[in-house]
Amino acid sequence: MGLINNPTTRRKLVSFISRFNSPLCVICYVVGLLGFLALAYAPYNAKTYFSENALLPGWFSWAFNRIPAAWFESKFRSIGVDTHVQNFTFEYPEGLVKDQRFPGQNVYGILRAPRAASTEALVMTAPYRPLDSAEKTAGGIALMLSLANAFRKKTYWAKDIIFLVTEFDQLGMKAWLNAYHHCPTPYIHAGELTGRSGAIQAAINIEIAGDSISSFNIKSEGLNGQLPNLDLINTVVLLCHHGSITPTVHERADHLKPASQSGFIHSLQTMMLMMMTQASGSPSGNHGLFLPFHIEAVTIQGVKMKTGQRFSLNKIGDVVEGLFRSLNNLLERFHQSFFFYLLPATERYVSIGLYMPPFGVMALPLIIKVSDRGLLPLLPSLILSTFFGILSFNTTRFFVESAEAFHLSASDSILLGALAILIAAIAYPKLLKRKSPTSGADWRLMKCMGLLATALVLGALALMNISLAYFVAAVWTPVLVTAKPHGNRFAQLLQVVLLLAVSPLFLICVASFAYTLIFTKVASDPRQVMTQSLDLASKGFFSSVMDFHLFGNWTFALYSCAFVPIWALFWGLIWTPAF
Amino acid sequence: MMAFPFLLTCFVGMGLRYWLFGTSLAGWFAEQNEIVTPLTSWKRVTEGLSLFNLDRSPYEGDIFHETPLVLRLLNQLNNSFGSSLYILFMLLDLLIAVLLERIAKHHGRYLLQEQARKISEYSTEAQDILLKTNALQITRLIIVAGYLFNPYVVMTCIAKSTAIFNNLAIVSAMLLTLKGNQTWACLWIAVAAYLSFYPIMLVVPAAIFIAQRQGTDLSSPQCISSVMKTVLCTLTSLTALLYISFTLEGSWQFLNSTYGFILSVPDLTPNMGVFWYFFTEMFEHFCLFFLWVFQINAFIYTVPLSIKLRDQPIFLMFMLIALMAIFKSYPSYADCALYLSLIPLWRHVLPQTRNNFIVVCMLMVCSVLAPVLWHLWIYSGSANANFYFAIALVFSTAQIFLVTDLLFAFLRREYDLLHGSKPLIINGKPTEVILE
Repeated sequence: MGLINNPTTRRKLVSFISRFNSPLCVICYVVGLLGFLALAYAPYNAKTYFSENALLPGWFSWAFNRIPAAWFESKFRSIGVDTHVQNFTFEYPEGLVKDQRFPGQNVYGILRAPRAASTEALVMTAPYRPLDSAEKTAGGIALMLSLANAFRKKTYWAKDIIFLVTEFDQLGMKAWLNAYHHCPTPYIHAGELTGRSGAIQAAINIEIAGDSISSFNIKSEGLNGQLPNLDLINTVVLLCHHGSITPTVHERADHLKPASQSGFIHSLQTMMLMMMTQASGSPSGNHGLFLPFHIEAVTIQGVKMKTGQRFSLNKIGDVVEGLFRSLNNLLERFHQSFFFYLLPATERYVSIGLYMPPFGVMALPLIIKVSDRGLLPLLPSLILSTFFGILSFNTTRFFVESAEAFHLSASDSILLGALAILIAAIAYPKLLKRKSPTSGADWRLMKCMGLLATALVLGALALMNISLAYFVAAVWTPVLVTAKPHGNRFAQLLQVVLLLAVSPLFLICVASFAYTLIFTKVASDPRQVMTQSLDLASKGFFSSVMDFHLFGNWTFALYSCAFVPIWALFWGLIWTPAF
Repeated sequence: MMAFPFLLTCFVGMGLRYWLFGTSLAGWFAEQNEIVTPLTSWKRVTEGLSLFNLDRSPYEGDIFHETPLVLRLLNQLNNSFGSSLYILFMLLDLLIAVLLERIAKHHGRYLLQEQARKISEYSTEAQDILLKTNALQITRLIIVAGYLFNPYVVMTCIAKSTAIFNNLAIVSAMLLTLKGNQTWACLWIAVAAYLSFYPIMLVVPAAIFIAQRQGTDLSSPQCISSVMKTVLCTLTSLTALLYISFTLEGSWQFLNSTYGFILSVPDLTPNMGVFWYFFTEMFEHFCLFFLWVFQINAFIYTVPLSIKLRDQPIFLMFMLIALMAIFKSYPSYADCALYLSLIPLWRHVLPQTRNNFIVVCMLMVCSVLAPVLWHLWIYSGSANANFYFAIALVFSTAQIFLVTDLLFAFLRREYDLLHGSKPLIINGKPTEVILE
């Protein structure tokens, strides 16, 4: 109370902050931005370690030694596990394909634990993809079947093991999880499960294309940027080392000299790749859908390089078996170690305690620039900007339906709809001005409200999805903090360009462009890259709408309910009369 | 002239509620621990009603905590409104808004009377801060808009929280006290106390106010008899309500499920208060002692505040409503919303407040972070109880800042009225008034 009630100390603090306002902001921003990136440097982050000793990774001898074959789901019965088939149907949300339901099937077998009642379970899952698809999973399924056969003959299992093959990747996964936990969702109609086990403790998703791999890629990012417990990733990494298979994150192995300059750049790139994936909010594999149910899960993906050492399925089976033996040792749910971290390498992590301070410092200018005055004249701008948010949240169905008349594809129509709302938002300051030429809206006050709202949204977001919060803060902080109405025409023009460049829709296009450049390897001709990324922008926007309805991905809700209104408020701000 | 903006405000406020009832937010709010408590959750009411309709006493279980009269009232309302029950909650909100407008009117009149009575004592330099009739007129609109568009009020209404009945009783008691209607004021205080126990404190300011209207001096025999009459009248009404409940229910079992539930705090579902965390952490054999400490803490402020604010009983009533909302055993946004909506009555002291910006920021941060941290704790399992409690603690702290700040501002204005609003000059430097 002393600090805020004692007028003298308070005045000192306030006068200090207002005197060194701008340099403070610049320093904070730069320090935060770079400080965050510096965390990828090995001496500044920490080596991963095991918190949960019950995992006992690698404290057993290897038993799996079977030659895998291309068996399919009917084989479960002959293996002798409790086999069930789940039917599900799904429909496209927002009236995309009307009155049509697509059927799908999941097959799963439950290996009942000989040493315990079925109160706890582990899940091994592999997505079933047609043989002509780009990323095949037949190897993973074969491995799973032979592991099931091997596991069944052992007596040491203390948890049920569910072997699950899902159709339509995430849709099937979601249908199965919804049915298992009795959580119906409107667009995926999951059929009853005829057999079930206990509470699922952990899940491993396997994506292996053929019969040999050169390294194991660990995918951790889940729905809404949620991450599995770090102990699970540690286990995978350790077991890979046991089996002398190289573990990678984002298909990047650890640098040999992480403390060197090239080592720093290598880990920074790895960390940035992870952050980009996390920021999108969509899961990087089927494991991501387990995480919202409080089930720790990772995807291990077999990567096949053209050159270098190859490992057969036998070797891979050793690693996966070891993983399940470790998980079998668990006495309670994963609760130690970290849930909030970034991985610059497989064995290094940046914990929440390390990344939050630079992020906070970077977002601090938003708070420093806040000042306070009376509120009422702001109402029209506030209401209108909220209105744009609600509009973009609720109108996707309308755009899809009205675009049918023009023979536009659904993804294009949703992007065009978002563009229409953006243009409406661009036009609204003019409308307000015409009605009341001397409207008393004080831009400083508007800015104060807007900055507060931004700080609040970014702060809350940082708790759940640090990567998205970091990227948004990195581009928004400088632009929003400097936003003000300019009398000077050139300055105003610059401002308009800057603000348009950070508009949510444009940022999505930029993000898609970056994704195309980084994640797809065909980009050589610049024109091709452009068309491809535009295509990806519309697809990306479309799939975020779909993900929102099908899986509960919040990126779209966040876009329309938080980012669009805040941006519209600032857009209105720069057009208010300067005084 | 005031009628049109007033009607427009009511209309837009109702429209907003109607729209929100149609969205998926309604179901979400009804499950949020910050908005509904075990005492006010509509889900629990439906459970109680179905047990009641099956001729089982809902008080035998551990789910239902409404009083018997409310149980019967809700049963009646539920049967007559059916699926359009949300209209009832909208109408109740509108009714409270109208009552608040009446309160603003009577309170404005009361303030002007007081000012006219004491004007001879005031400093000649206090002209600037004297109340004007025009400003008080506008307050009536502000209080209605402030209530109908307060996000906490809207959330409470959309969640169908039964706290709305409690708020209605408190607002009615306040209005009738201001009108000087002794019998009815006592009856409504008794109803409020019957609903949620804590409002029994309000009998103190009501008694002081009514006594002051009749006699001039607080120690005169007339005054003392008036105070006695108010207290007795309230207690009699409360006893009558309890006795009616007993005859309807046929046993005293309901006392344990309602007041026993409020006082002994057996349900430690997290909420925006501090009880749940302390009592989950505490060793069993300390519980009883700290239960007494916490509950006495909720009531103890009545004594010092009544002495300090004996000449401003309506402000005392406001302070008590606010402290009740902070320190009660199952607080929710509904309680917070009630006293926030009453703040416009003291609009003239707001220029003296110092922390309202910080308080507003704190409240905003808590309202956004509470559901986020709840999600991280309960659904993702990646955060834990301490995160959520930290936010609940900040929320309580913000409210305490707000209340002390308002008290300070109120006293500061009283001081300024007597000593002039310009700072004293000593040794050529302006002095400051500091509260320590």
